[in-house]
Amino acid sequence: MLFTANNIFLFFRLYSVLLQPFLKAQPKDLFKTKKTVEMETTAADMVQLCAYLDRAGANYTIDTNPSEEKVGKIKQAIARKNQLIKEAINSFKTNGISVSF
Amino acid sequence: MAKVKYEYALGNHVYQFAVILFDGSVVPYQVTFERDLYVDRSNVTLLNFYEGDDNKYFCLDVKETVIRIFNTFFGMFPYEKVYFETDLSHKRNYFKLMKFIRWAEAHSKTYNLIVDVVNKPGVYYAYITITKK
Repeated sequence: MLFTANNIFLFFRLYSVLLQPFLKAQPKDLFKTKKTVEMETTAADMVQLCAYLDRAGANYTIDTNPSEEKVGKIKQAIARKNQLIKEAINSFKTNGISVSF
Repeated sequence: MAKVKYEYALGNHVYQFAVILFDGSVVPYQVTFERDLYVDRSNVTLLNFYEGDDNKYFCLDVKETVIRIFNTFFGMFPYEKVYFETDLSHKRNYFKLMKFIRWAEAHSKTYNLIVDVVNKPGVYYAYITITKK
Protein backbone atom coordinates (compact mmCIF):
# COMPACT_ATOMS: atom_id res chain seq x y z
CA MET A 1 0.00 0.00 0.00
CA LEU A 2 1.26 3.45 -0.90
CA PHE A 3 -0.77 5.62 1.44
CA THR A 4 0.09 3.95 4.70
CA ALA A 5 0.56 6.01 7.84
CA ASN A 6 4.25 5.27 7.84
CA ASN A 7 4.72 6.37 4.21
CA ILE A 8 2.77 9.60 4.73
CA PHE A 9 4.84 10.35 7.81
CA LEU A 10 8.08 9.76 5.85
CA PHE A 11 6.83 11.93 2.97
CA PHE A 12 6.11 14.92 5.23
CA ARG A 13 9.36 14.45 7.08
CA LEU A 14 11.37 14.42 3.83
CA TYR A 15 9.60 17.45 2.38
CA SER A 16 9.80 19.41 5.60
CA VAL A 17 13.60 19.03 5.42
CA LEU A 18 13.72 20.10 1.78
CA LEU A 19 11.39 23.06 2.27
CA GLN A 20 12.86 24.10 5.60
CA PRO A 21 14.78 27.14 4.30
CA PHE A 22 11.69 28.39 2.44
CA LEU A 23 9.30 27.81 5.33
CA LYS A 24 11.55 29.45 7.88
CA ALA A 25 12.77 32.29 5.68
CA GLN A 26 10.92 35.57 5.59
CA PRO A 27 9.90 37.04 2.22
CA LYS A 28 12.70 39.61 2.50
CA ASP A 29 15.38 36.92 2.64
CA LEU A 30 14.03 35.04 -0.35
CA PHE A 31 14.52 38.02 -2.66
CA LYS A 32 17.95 38.99 -1.43
CA THR A 33 20.30 39.83 -4.28
CA LYS A 34 23.57 38.03 -4.45
CA LYS A 35 26.72 40.00 -3.78
CA THR A 36 28.91 40.56 -6.80
CA VAL A 37 32.25 38.87 -6.50
CA GLU A 38 35.30 40.69 -7.76
CA MET A 39 37.11 38.29 -10.04
CA GLU A 40 40.83 38.69 -10.45
CA THR A 41 42.72 38.36 -13.67
CA THR A 42 45.32 35.67 -14.09
CA ALA A 43 48.45 35.30 -16.21
CA ALA A 44 46.45 33.23 -18.70
CA ASP A 45 44.04 36.14 -19.17
CA MET A 46 46.95 38.43 -19.98
CA VAL A 47 48.17 35.96 -22.63
CA GLN A 48 44.66 36.03 -24.08
CA LEU A 49 44.70 39.84 -24.08
CA CYS A 50 48.01 39.91 -25.97
CA ALA A 51 46.62 37.46 -28.53
CA TYR A 52 43.58 39.68 -28.92
CA LEU A 53 45.76 42.76 -29.40
CA ASP A 54 47.73 40.86 -32.05
CA ARG A 55 44.55 39.98 -33.87
CA ALA A 56 43.25 43.56 -33.65
CA GLY A 57 46.49 44.87 -35.15
CA ALA A 58 47.14 47.33 -32.31
CA ASN A 59 50.63 48.51 -31.40
CA TYR A 60 51.44 47.22 -27.97
CA THR A 61 54.37 46.72 -25.62
CA ILE A 62 54.60 44.39 -22.64
CA ASP A 63 56.61 45.34 -19.59
CA THR A 64 57.24 42.20 -17.56
CA ASN A 65 59.66 43.80 -15.12
CA PRO A 66 58.40 47.34 -14.41
CA SER A 67 60.24 49.69 -12.08
CA GLU A 68 58.65 50.61 -8.76
CA GLU A 69 58.49 54.25 -9.88
CA LYS A 70 56.41 53.34 -12.92
CA VAL A 71 53.97 51.17 -10.93
CA GLY A 72 53.72 53.86 -8.24
CA LYS A 73 52.94 56.54 -10.83
CA ILE A 74 50.21 54.44 -12.44
CA LYS A 75 48.71 53.56 -9.03
CA GLN A 76 48.70 57.23 -8.07
CA ALA A 77 47.03 58.22 -11.34
CA ILE A 78 44.31 55.56 -10.91
CA ALA A 79 43.68 56.60 -7.28
CA ARG A 80 43.35 60.23 -8.37
CA LYS A 81 40.98 59.26 -11.15
CA ASN A 82 38.78 57.29 -8.73
CA GLN A 83 38.68 60.29 -6.41
CA LEU A 84 37.62 62.56 -9.28
CA ILE A 85 34.91 60.07 -10.26
CA LYS A 86 33.58 60.09 -6.68
CA GLU A 87 33.54 63.90 -6.67
CA ALA A 88 31.75 63.99 -10.01
CA ILE A 89 29.10 61.54 -8.77
CA ASN A 90 28.60 63.56 -5.58
CA SER A 91 28.20 66.77 -7.58
CA PHE A 92 25.71 64.96 -9.83
CA LYS A 93 23.72 63.83 -6.78
CA THR A 94 23.51 67.39 -5.44
CA ASN A 95 23.25 69.46 -8.63
CA GLY A 96 22.32 67.01 -11.38
CA ILE A 97 22.89 67.60 -15.08
CA SER A 98 20.63 69.21 -17.60
CA VAL A 99 20.73 67.14 -20.77
CA SER A 100 17.92 67.54 -23.25
CA PHE A 101 16.77 64.71 -25.53
CA MET B 1 20.79 59.44 -31.26
CA ALA B 2 21.63 61.07 -27.92
CA LYS B 3 22.18 64.83 -27.78
CA VAL B 4 25.51 65.92 -26.38
CA LYS B 5 26.03 68.93 -24.14
CA TYR B 6 29.50 70.45 -24.31
CA GLU B 7 31.16 72.53 -21.61
CA TYR B 8 34.64 73.93 -21.20
CA ALA B 9 35.19 74.12 -17.45
CA LEU B 10 38.46 74.63 -15.56
CA GLY B 11 40.54 73.66 -18.57
CA ASN B 12 38.61 70.44 -19.10
CA HIS B 13 36.48 69.55 -22.09
CA VAL B 14 33.32 68.03 -20.64
CA TYR B 15 30.74 66.24 -22.79
CA GLN B 16 27.51 65.12 -21.13
CA PHE B 17 24.78 62.99 -22.63
CA ALA B 18 21.98 60.72 -21.50
CA VAL B 19 20.80 57.45 -22.97
CA ILE B 20 17.34 55.87 -22.74
CA LEU B 21 17.53 52.11 -22.26
CA PHE B 22 15.01 49.56 -23.47
CA ASP B 23 13.31 49.41 -20.06
CA GLY B 24 12.75 53.18 -20.15
CA SER B 25 15.36 54.15 -17.57
CA VAL B 26 17.58 57.13 -18.35
CA VAL B 27 21.32 56.84 -17.71
CA PRO B 28 23.46 59.99 -17.81
CA TYR B 29 27.07 59.73 -18.96
CA GLN B 30 30.02 62.09 -19.02
CA VAL B 31 33.16 62.07 -21.14
CA THR B 32 35.94 64.31 -19.84
CA PHE B 33 39.16 65.31 -21.59
CA GLU B 34 41.47 66.64 -18.91
CA ARG B 35 44.62 68.40 -20.06
CA ASP B 36 47.85 67.57 -18.24
CA LEU B 37 49.70 70.55 -16.83
CA TYR B 38 53.27 69.52 -17.60
CA VAL B 39 53.06 66.92 -20.36
CA ASP B 40 51.55 67.56 -23.78
CA ARG B 41 48.61 65.14 -23.52
CA SER B 42 45.02 64.79 -22.25
CA ASN B 43 43.46 62.23 -19.96
CA VAL B 44 40.07 60.85 -20.99
CA THR B 45 37.39 59.30 -18.75
CA LEU B 46 33.98 57.86 -19.51
CA LEU B 47 31.78 58.07 -16.45
CA ASN B 48 28.36 56.60 -15.75
CA PHE B 49 26.72 58.71 -13.05
CA TYR B 50 24.44 56.01 -11.73
CA GLU B 51 26.82 53.09 -11.60
CA GLY B 52 29.99 54.95 -10.77
CA ASP B 53 32.98 53.02 -11.99
CA ASP B 54 30.94 49.89 -12.76
CA ASN B 55 29.84 51.07 -16.15
CA LYS B 56 27.64 49.04 -18.41
CA TYR B 57 28.63 49.58 -22.01
CA PHE B 58 25.88 47.45 -23.48
CA CYS B 59 23.93 50.25 -25.08
CA LEU B 60 24.70 50.93 -28.74
CA ASP B 61 23.83 54.61 -28.29
CA VAL B 62 26.70 54.98 -25.81
CA LYS B 63 29.20 53.55 -28.26
CA GLU B 64 27.93 55.73 -31.08
CA THR B 65 27.94 58.96 -29.05
CA VAL B 66 31.36 58.31 -27.51
CA ILE B 67 32.84 57.81 -30.98
CA ARG B 68 31.09 60.99 -32.13
CA ILE B 69 32.57 62.87 -29.16
CA PHE B 70 36.05 61.55 -30.01
CA ASN B 71 35.60 62.69 -33.61
CA THR B 72 34.57 66.20 -32.53
CA PHE B 73 37.43 66.44 -30.02
CA PHE B 74 40.03 65.35 -32.57
CA GLY B 75 38.41 67.72 -35.05
CA MET B 76 39.22 70.59 -32.70
CA PHE B 77 42.66 69.25 -31.64
CA PRO B 78 44.01 66.97 -34.38
CA TYR B 79 47.51 66.70 -32.90
CA GLU B 80 46.39 65.92 -29.36
CA LYS B 81 47.58 62.80 -27.56
CA VAL B 82 44.75 61.27 -25.52
CA TYR B 83 45.46 58.61 -22.90
CA PHE B 84 43.95 56.65 -20.03
CA GLU B 85 45.16 53.97 -17.67
CA THR B 86 43.30 51.02 -16.17
CA ASP B 87 43.92 48.59 -13.36
CA LEU B 88 43.59 45.18 -15.00
CA SER B 89 43.75 43.24 -11.73
CA HIS B 90 39.95 43.41 -11.63
CA LYS B 91 38.32 41.32 -14.27
CA ARG B 92 35.66 43.91 -15.09
CA ASN B 93 38.36 46.39 -16.15
CA TYR B 94 40.00 43.66 -18.19
CA PHE B 95 36.79 43.01 -20.11
CA LYS B 96 36.22 46.75 -20.49
CA LEU B 97 39.59 47.06 -22.17
CA MET B 98 38.77 44.14 -24.47
CA LYS B 99 35.54 45.87 -25.41
CA PHE B 100 37.31 49.17 -25.99
CA ILE B 101 39.81 47.47 -28.34
CA ARG B 102 36.89 46.00 -30.22
CA TRP B 103 35.43 49.51 -30.56
CA ALA B 104 38.74 50.90 -31.72
CA GLU B 105 39.32 48.10 -34.22
CA ALA B 106 36.67 49.54 -36.51
CA HIS B 107 38.38 52.96 -36.51
CA SER B 108 41.94 51.78 -37.06
CA LYS B 109 42.16 53.77 -40.33
CA THR B 110 41.67 57.13 -38.60
CA TYR B 111 43.18 56.53 -35.14
CA ASN B 112 46.40 55.08 -33.79
CA LEU B 113 46.04 52.92 -30.70
CA ILE B 114 49.10 52.15 -28.58
CA VAL B 115 48.70 49.84 -25.59
CA ASP B 116 51.41 49.58 -22.94
CA VAL B 117 50.76 46.56 -20.73
CA VAL B 118 52.45 46.05 -17.36
CA ASN B 119 52.43 42.28 -16.92
CA LYS B 120 54.02 41.20 -13.66
CA PRO B 121 52.45 38.49 -11.47
CA GLY B 122 49.94 40.33 -9.29
CA VAL B 123 50.53 43.71 -11.00
CA TYR B 124 48.46 44.16 -14.13
CA TYR B 125 48.03 47.60 -15.62
CA ALA B 126 47.37 48.98 -19.07
CA TYR B 127 48.23 52.42 -20.40
CA ILE B 128 46.44 53.31 -23.62
CA THR B 129 47.23 56.27 -25.89
CA ILE B 130 45.10 57.39 -28.82
CA THR B 131 46.29 59.72 -31.58
CA LYS B 132 44.89 60.72 -34.92
CA LYS B 133 46.69 59.48 -38.05
